[in-house]
Amino acid sequence: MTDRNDDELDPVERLRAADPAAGLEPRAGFTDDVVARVTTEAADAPAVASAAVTDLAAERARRRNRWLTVAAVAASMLVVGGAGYAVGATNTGSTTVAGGAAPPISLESGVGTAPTEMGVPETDASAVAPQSRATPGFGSDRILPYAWGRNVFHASGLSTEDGTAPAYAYDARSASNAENVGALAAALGLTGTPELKDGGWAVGPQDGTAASLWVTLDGTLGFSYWDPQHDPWRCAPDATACEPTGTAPTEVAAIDAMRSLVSASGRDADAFEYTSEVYEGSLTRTVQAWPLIDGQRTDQGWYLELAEGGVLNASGSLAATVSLGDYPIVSEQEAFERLSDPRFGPQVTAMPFSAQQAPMEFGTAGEPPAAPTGGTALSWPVNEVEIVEARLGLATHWQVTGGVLLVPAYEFTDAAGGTWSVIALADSMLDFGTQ
Amino acid sequence: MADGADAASGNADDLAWFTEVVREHSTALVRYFARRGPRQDAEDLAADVFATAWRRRDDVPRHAVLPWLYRTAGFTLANHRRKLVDLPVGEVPDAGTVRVADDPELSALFDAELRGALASVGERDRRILLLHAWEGLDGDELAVVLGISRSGADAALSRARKRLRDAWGERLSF
Repeated sequence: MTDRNDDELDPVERLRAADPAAGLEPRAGFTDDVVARVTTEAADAPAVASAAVTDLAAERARRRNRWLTVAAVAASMLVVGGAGYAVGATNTGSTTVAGGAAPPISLESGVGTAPTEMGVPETDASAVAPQSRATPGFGSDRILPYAWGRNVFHASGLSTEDGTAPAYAYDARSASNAENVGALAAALGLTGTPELKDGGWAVGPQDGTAASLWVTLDGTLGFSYWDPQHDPWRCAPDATACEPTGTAPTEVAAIDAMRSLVSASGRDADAFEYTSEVYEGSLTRTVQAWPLIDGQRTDQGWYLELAEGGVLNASGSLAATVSLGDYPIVSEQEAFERLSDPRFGPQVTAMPFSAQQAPMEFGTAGEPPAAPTGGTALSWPVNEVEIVEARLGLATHWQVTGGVLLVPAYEFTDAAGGTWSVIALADSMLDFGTQ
Repeated sequence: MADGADAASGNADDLAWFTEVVREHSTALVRYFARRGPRQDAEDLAADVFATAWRRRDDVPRHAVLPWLYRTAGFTLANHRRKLVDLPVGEVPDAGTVRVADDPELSALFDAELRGALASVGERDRRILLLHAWEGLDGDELAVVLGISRSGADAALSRARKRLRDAWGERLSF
């Protein structure tokens, strides 16, 4: 999604050019010092414990007069709380609630940022959909031979049966009205009528001076809410010291707040899976709600960040999913063959760390590398990828027209633990035309 | 979690993973802090983030390490700043226009016009703009770092860019 404005006049470009740390590198030995520091610490450093809630009733009583001013229906959900789900008890700061549903499959990887090498097809992800940078975390200025290099795939024993699988669409248009937006706003404690302008619904001032809600008119009807009043780091402008105190809310409190919000939007809170995180040193706790379809998480999750005083920010998708019925899909074997078909991929979605190469270090001995001698063969790495497992799941797909679907996709796992995704729909359901 | 007998090999794998993480992302983290505060603090703060990543290594998503690091860096920076509020403002190039206590990240920016425009868009938009322009984040990565949904991040970035353009336009017309 690049901005097509004239770069010279675009202040973002000027900002980019004004990077005060351009070219800055850490001192030599920084990595070694950091690693040495952690190895001298206790071998089994205690992980951050999540708050153990021993008395749920007292917890709810304390909470009842805080946070969300909810509509009557949602209020009853808030009080009922815990019976509908189980809190997973672990020692880490992040917990998963309920089920353990399969993770969503991503059909797109960060292709657009990779440098191209000779012989590697350059796939322009932006031609597929506007939001094409799907998988975070890939180093953007490193050559990653596993993902962008030359891959040869092998598999055996994959099923050759084709069949059908259900697909879904996000229906943003049906949900886009003042009534729905108003109900969500009310659940978040906002008064004021939703206004349709600038490509979305707005409730509250949009300049950050007070709590506000914004609903974008995109394929999933995404919303975002922010209340600067609840930012624990917000201090008086003339204060001499900024010392926010307090503790991050408990996991139960945060998940309950998220469930209330989900319910207030007309959804079934039990049709979601919840995870919660609290970061060391943070005064807020985040919750994510993952919609479940056919036992699988979809990647259009809801987020909520809760501070002691209330909801700091929240976001999600208001569009409901509608069934499109069953679509014809290819067999595992045929999908596997698509990995070698330039029309389809391959799109690597997870990469084992061992496959990443350390950056090549030149000149560490005080001189450049030795010149290659005559007859030297070129280094021309080709990755042999052995597929060992296939899973049929759902992936989100953005149409060029802006609509959003959940479609059957295969996730292949290779022997090294990496995953590769391929769309499962039969060719007859794919429109290969451009424009 | 590793059993007693496997603890040693489990820890060795963790250490190998961690060493790779530090090697790969040191530059990004040091630059993050050098853009938002005194350069002499950047390496120490980056080291703190990595130390947190080690302590919380079970929670670091293996497919999205850098966004997790940036998110942790945000908290580390906030913690660090509140210790700096009481320091005198002698380091500010244009004393009186920008107080270090308000916008420490802008004190490193010597482009006065840009600093003025950024100062007027508000702290949240500024944070998003810097993550986009300097860390190169958008899309899913930006969403992870901000802790919001992908569509929320797209919308927030789009609005922040618009507000910067508006503020920039106002400054140019005098």
